[in-house]
Amino acid sequence: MTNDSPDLTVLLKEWSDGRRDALDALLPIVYGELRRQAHHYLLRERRGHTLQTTALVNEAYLKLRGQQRVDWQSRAHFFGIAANFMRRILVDYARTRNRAKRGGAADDLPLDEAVYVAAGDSDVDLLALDEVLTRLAEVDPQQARIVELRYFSGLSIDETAEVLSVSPATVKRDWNMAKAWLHHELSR
Amino acid sequence: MKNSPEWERIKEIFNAALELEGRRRRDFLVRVCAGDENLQARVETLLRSFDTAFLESPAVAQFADQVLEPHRVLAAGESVGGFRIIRSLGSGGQGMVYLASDPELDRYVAVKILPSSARGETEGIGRLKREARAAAALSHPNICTVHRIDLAHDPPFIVMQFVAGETLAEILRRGPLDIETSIRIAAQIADALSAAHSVGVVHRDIKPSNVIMAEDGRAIVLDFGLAKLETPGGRQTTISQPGVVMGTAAYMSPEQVRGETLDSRTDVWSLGVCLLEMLTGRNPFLRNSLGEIFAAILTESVELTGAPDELTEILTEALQRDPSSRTRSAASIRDTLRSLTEEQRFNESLKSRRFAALQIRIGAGKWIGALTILAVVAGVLAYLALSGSAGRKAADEIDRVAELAAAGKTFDAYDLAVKIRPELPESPELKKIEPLFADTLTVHSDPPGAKVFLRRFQKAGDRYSDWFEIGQTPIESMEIARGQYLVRVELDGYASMVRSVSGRFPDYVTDLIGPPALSIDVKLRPAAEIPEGMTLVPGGEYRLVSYTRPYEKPVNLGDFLIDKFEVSNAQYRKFILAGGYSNADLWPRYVEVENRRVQFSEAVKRFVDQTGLPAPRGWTDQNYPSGHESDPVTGVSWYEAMAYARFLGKDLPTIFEWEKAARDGMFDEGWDTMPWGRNRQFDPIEELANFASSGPKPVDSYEFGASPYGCLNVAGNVSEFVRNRRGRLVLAGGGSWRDRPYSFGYYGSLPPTYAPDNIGFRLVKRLTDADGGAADFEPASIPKYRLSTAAQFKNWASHYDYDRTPLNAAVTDRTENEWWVRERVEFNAADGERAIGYLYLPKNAKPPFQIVHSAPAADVPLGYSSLTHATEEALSPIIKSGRAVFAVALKGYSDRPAPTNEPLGPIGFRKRMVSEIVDWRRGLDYLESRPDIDVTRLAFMGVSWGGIQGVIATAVDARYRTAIYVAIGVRPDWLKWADEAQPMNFAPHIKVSKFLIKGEFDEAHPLETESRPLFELMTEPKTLDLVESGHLPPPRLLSPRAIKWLDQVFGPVN
Repeated sequence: MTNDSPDLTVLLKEWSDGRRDALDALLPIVYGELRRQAHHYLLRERRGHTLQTTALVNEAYLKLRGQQRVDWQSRAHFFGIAANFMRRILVDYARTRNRAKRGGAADDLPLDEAVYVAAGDSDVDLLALDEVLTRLAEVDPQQARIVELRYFSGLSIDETAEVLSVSPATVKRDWNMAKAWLHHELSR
Repeated sequence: MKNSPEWERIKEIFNAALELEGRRRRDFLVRVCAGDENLQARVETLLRSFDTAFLESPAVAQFADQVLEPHRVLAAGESVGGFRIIRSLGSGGQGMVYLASDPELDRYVAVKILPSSARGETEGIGRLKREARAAAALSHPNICTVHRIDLAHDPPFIVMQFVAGETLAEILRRGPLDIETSIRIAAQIADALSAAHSVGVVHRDIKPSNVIMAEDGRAIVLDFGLAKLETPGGRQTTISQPGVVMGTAAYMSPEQVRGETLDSRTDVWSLGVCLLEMLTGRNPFLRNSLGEIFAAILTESVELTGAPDELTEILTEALQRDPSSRTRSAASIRDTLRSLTEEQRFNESLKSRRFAALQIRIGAGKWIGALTILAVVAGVLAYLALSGSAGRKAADEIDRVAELAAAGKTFDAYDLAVKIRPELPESPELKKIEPLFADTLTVHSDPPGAKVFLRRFQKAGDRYSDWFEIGQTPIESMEIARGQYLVRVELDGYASMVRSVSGRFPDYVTDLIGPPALSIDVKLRPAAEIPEGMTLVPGGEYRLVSYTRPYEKPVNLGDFLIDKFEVSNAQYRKFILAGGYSNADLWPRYVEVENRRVQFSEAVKRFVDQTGLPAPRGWTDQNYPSGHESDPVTGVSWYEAMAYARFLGKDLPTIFEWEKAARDGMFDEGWDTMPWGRNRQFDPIEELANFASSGPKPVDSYEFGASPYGCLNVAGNVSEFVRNRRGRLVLAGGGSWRDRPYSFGYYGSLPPTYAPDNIGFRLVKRLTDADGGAADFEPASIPKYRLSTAAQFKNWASHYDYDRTPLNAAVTDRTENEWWVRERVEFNAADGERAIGYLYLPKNAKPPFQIVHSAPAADVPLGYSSLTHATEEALSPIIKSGRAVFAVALKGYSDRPAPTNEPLGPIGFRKRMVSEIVDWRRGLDYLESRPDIDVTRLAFMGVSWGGIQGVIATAVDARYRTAIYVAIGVRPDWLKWADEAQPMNFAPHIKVSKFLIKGEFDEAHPLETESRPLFELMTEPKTLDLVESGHLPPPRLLSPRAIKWLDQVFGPVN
């Protein structure tokens, strides 16, 4: 599928070298592929299973690379971007859903009252979270980034640490604090 | 950008305080904040807000429905059946809804696009359509008017009244309603139902999200007569779509769950559930899974306390499980509700009150097994499109398909589905459960036009099923039964290719790469170019994935040929006969023997058989044991493997080549990826690979265990040398007959002269100049762990505390052989479950017995072996030494199957570790209750993973008097686990004598990098005993050492 799309590795490299337009070229490819993979991935998921977004992002990456093996450096770059995109995609979903609740022939929105619970928190209001997360980024950009990578992109502590080139212990501490801070802000 | 120092300070204190609890946390805060009240308050706020579970499940989980049902979005201005789309009102499980304008009547309408499966004019649809039309004819202030239904249109659509407002579901999300409002809304729904029922229309899907609260205060019920129409395509799509069914399921009536014929009484039930939810804010049947929801609906009774009598009465009557006892009509409910609101008792103060005291009590019912539930699900799905007796029969068969699929019999499920398909043309219900038993297969070949054959890994009698042809390449997305197959690709003039393919998914998803796509690209070469017994592996980038991989970066491989089989004894003998051992051209001038450089002519004197002649170590007089000509050659060193390769003009595969041919990048953290795909718990691995047996098998055994490139026995049989060296050592991988299946994920580092009876090799021939990544690797670096303090340990150990509640132990089974009596014991585990233990009592000693608590290696939790088998295999000599042996079956073992194997994060992992060790400790409680057991002579003996858990157990439970750990080690990546689940944190605090038995050449937990660092963390008294073996020392090395140790510590047996 990548035959006629621009070479992702090259784009990633250019982007990490500071070329803004490389990111512009990347965005639609990655966005589309993430959606597609999310679709595939969720189809495979079975009842009662938690979702592993890492796999989703990873598959998107492998697919875009068009080959099986992964150059670590560009994978880390990719995960970095994917986290931000996943945030946009998911906030977008949340917005669509909220719209659906307004107005007339309101549709059956199955997950609303469904308990699709992995850890008991599936009802996070993403729009609100998006807002407070933006505020968190002003106070502590790294913590906000970690939330994107962990929550929106589903990365583990270790993977997050590798993407950000910091130690897992640092990620854990920042993650704990960010969770507490966001939880507090959301419940105000 | 730098964060403010204050923020950093808060972060530091917050994280430190998180580690503490209760008073210690308070004391700590007071101390470090030193009077800075603002600082302390901010940290305390954060600590209060800290919720472990918050944000731990990925955001995408909330959107499964929308992701799963991507609909083509209509743009503003587009026209559907003459209605002009203005904007989207939202998307959901069954389609998009748009606000549109009706040009003829100049009004706003809502246009709902139905799934394309609702389209058409088949008989069933025609009937459904009639009902939808009947519903559409209803004119009622509480029913959303349907203006038009067009099922012939592509896409089919429905045009409805546009009502501005919020759904009841959304309102309820903010909490329960006051009594008066609840009653008023319920009365309106009842009124709508009553009108519909009077003309024979049943709603079938009454739930809060189908009730919209209009701005004028009216409750308007949506989707009358549509439930059947919409269901086929999208609403209750597959069972694999988690939330989709569940939201609806909790409002289903018992007869709906059972898949029975529905009448107006189903709506009465659902109305009752809605009213209950309005009053209390929750749906009493909502659970974490579909199965639990259905079980609750079918078995649990709702009892309401604290509500006015009339309400209690209505609810009790509406929620009668048996529809024949559910005598109240919607009209009668409406009347009672209306009279209630008019009564004096609802004075102003009561009207707006919420019933704080209102309680729902759910009575316990009997547990329904998972299978029944799945069958019920299928029944529900089947019902929704079928009725009449033919339909019921079909529904039964669909149930059966779902049942077979759930039992893992996917071939049988598929075959039955294919059989019943002609009776159920285009059955959407069958389609819905297809993801449980069918996959699609794509096969491409270069060049194309090759014939493709499949062979199922399925036995008919005692032989496997035959090959069958499925077509010629390219084959695109062909439907096949889910399961494991061999695939053969044949083209005239070309070498044919056989490989495995498996569509079976693991029981849980912990991997990074995801299940193997059922898409095969085969590169064919003219037959003349592929020597007999070899197979082509196309080049490309490869990065190692196995656990103990020595290198992280990808390497570019050229095309290469690799042996399908390990080199056999007969083949190797030819090398000896041709003078291979004396041909200096085949050997290096110097070889390394015990870290010294030795001239080859000297070294070769070591490479001799039992009779002192140059040959593999296990041979006699340069002959392999008779009858073993087809077994893989073993007892040869890496040097000999290299010389043999040179003799044939070939090479040992590099680690990259070997791994690509063996697993092609398939790997997951759960240890269950094998060459043929994912291995599921309790699969017949003994038919796929030679593990945990008594010796090697012929090199062409286990044809269904083929790798993605058709290599046999890359997992098990014999471990295989690769070309690359690591420091002074060489590498071998794949696991052997002596190992457990998980060894497939490990490479051992060995001296190049090491020639045991379980390592062999296969060869490659490279077709390009690329060297396959032949460079040698740096020696592994040795990690260092921090020594935990006594205070830390005390805190962590407290996680393993439990209440010593009554055991209610019972011996449920006794079996015996000539050596021992085995008692199966059940007792209460700490979490209320019944735990299972096996107690072996020796016949050759007298009570009270010394006792060994045995913990098995990971092959037991992974389902490769039963607990009793593993225990008897490893500890039989110890029982025969006159000691009792005790083993506890943990959740997930074959004795105590766990419903799902969810992937675990650090917290989940901690929880599991705690519950497992607490189960062990409960087992010790049980041993203390036995007069025939001398618990003052209690030893722990754990192997591999069991031993690693034992590090924690023996640190936290003082009843163990000594501990024997076999083949244990720790890895730096375990630092990601919660502190209280890291064995490294407990190792320094084990007080009793510790005895580590360790294979010097352990590939799973290499001695220097994983075992010595752990040993160093331990305090005296401790002993490390090295034996010459791989991961699991053979009984001849293990048992005498363990028995001697027990003799020394506990003295002789009675």
